[in-house]
Amino acid sequence: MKFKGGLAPLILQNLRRGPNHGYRIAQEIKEKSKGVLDFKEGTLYPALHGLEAKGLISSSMQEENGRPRCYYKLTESGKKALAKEKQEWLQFSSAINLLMQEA
Amino acid sequence: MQKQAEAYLPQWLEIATADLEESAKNKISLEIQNHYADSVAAHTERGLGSLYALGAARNDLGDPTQAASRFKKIYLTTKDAHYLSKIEKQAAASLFSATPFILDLIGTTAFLTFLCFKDLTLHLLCGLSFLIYAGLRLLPRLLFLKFRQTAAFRRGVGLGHNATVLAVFALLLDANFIEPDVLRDHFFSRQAICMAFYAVLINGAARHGKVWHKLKNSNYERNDLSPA
Repeated sequence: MKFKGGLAPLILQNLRRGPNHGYRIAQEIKEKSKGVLDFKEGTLYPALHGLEAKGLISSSMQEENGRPRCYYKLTESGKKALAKEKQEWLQFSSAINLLMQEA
Repeated sequence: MQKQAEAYLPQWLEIATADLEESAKNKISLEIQNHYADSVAAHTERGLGSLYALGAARNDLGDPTQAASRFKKIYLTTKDAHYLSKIEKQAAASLFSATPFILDLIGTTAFLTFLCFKDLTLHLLCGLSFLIYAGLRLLPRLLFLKFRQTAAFRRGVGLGHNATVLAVFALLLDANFIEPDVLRDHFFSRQAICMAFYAVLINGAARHGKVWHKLKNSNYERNDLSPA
């Protein structure tokens, strides 16, 4: 089965709850994964910009505490891509679980 | 020590965004600077001294060379941007204007020769010349007239250039332009010149391919081109 892992589905899943900026996306992924998934900026931003170039997310500048911040939000094609990624992941993980639970 | 730690971010950004075009550089720098400031503030809140907080934030940045190679896969480099602006300028120019005059001349001559002469070799040569003209000049011009303000324009022009270079390469190979004992006895022979020509074509195709790959997924709206 073809499985596309990596940071992209995690970013899409994070943005499902609403617009967010890079730092908060990284922090929320880290917190929710209890520190297991900790991405460096040199990995996070190329992934974000790559998703934007593919049209799966869009960005806009907003002022926050006197600083301009780049907020990302999920586009319609991003929502479809996320649904597909989720389905693939569920199939993949349940297959691995079946194998790992074997006595 | 403190100064050294503070100077790290500009150095990191310089490496990570080296060779990228200005708009990409600015976007990346703004985001990373904000992220870095948030990271230092968060580490300080957690009780780290300012030097340690800077060190921890520096560690969060990761390897700038890896970041640079990832960014280069997404954004156009200054070289790519220069090449694109050149072909866009050509596409925007009306027929027989100064910049693409030679290409327009090739196209017209090929068309007229095709009509006036019946010789097969001349017909093949005309076909090849017209292919070059159509791919490098006519198609970009039509795309400019129809889609100049959308991402499809750049993608189409990039694809047109790439397809043309590859088609010319394939046609010349098919015509057995290269002979196997090239460069053995006569270094400056006709074959050697052909080899140099092929090298230029391959290099061009690789360059077109690389830029087109970046443009393939790009979704940006364009509004910086003049009207037709």
